[in-house]
Amino acid sequence: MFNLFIDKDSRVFWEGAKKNRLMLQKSKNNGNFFLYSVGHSNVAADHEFEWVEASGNGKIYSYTVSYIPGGSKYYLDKTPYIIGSILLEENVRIMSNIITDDIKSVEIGKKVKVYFRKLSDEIVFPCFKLV
Amino acid sequence: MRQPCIIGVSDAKINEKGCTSQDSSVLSIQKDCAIEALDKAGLNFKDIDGLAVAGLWGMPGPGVMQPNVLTEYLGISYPKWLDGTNTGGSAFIFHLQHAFQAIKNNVCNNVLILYGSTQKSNKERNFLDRPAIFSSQFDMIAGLPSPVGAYALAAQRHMHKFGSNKETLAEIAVAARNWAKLNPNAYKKDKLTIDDVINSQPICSPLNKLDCCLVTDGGGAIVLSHTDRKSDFKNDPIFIKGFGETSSHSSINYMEDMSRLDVAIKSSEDAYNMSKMSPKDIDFAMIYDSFTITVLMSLEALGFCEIGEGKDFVKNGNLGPNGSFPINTNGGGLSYCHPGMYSIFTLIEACRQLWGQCGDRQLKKNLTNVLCHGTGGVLSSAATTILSKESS
Repeated sequence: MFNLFIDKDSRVFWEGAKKNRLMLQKSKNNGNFFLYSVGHSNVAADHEFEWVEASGNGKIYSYTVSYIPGGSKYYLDKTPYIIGSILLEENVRIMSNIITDDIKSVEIGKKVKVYFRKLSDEIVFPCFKLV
Repeated sequence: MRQPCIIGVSDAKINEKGCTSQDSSVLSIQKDCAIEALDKAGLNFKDIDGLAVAGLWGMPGPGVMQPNVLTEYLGISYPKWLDGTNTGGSAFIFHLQHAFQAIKNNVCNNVLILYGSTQKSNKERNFLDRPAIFSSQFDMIAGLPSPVGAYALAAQRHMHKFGSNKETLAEIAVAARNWAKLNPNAYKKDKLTIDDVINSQPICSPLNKLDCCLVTDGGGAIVLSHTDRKSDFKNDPIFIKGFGETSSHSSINYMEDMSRLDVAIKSSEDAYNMSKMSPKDIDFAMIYDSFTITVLMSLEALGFCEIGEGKDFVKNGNLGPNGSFPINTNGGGLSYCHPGMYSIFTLIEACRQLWGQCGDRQLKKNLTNVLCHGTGGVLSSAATTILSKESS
């Protein structure tokens, strides 16, 4: 169903999610957070980093209601669903889903809280619900 | 003074289904385009010593070395310069400026830039089974349709920040259609209204089906040479006055500000500086329109209006045949063709406008400087070039 290629830079994230923990990378040089790529995070690629658990609090940076399936056949019978770019308290954006029964209540800037959703035996995905 | 210049162009014919002829392959399309462009340039394949190509074709898994495949297939004898830069749909404008530098510096003399696609005929455009890999692994697990979902996130953010809306975007789609009606080789030529766009099938909010580029086959070729070779080209040489290129991200979530197209700000700044021009010196622009939002954000980033003021700039058909700022006179990726990687068509149409070969859609005003801008990936990469009838 999901053709996920976990690698060195994402293994801790996915293993953490299985334990209902939202894991991010944190630069030991300047304390800034990032996830996977350092682009636009003010972290340099040669910084040392550690994995830390995030608070799980954030707000909606942007979102889209998708009327077509994307990414995986899993979504073939799930439309419409909401994909959100969530700006976490740690100043990192994470691509995720916003879980709600009321699509109209979703707006940019609204506060959200992590909600761990089991997608398959292998994958728990940190999703978000409106606070 | 050795001045690189464009001396021939060609685009593939597409039929009423948006396909090239039934027996063409992704390679034969490029050969046919190359033959036509070379003929218009007054050159032969044996004159070509530089080749640039990008595409989405090849073998799934092992991939394919596209410059090698075309060198062999076209019998180009030991080219001195090859470029396979692939930055997404912007790639051909990258190729143009790389070719400029190669020719200017005597690395090679005559360059072919090629593109071909059979994505419509072969129904290749399926993204559901692709691996969730690298930074896009999170997007794929979240079910973000690519690329439309990424552009939708940018559009939503732009609307939130600047008050643009679905009518703003629809203006762009309607202007493209009104141009396409004047282009005999355009795929979509039926009437289109603002309401048609707003009421079309929702895809990823706020983008509807008619905010999205077409899915067609297609291909194109561009021939570059230089003024030392000779001065009496079949077409007046078109010069490259300035260019800029850059990249920022691969997954949309790593775009610094989703409401502002920073890569286009940077690439156009370099192009303006090199040419000693500003937006007011540009007579006409060809702007890659993968989605309506791409045009809105590009217009702002390229300096044709202020950031956030695109919503007023595009009103009342301003980009269309009767507007004050015509763009994309071929009908664009929204209504002419979109074989997957479109920027080569911005260059082809710009040259044809400068040569006065555009028939019913030929702009009535005097044209000297045309800006072409390409976006690649999901607002990821950008290349801007300024073409001109005047040499540097």
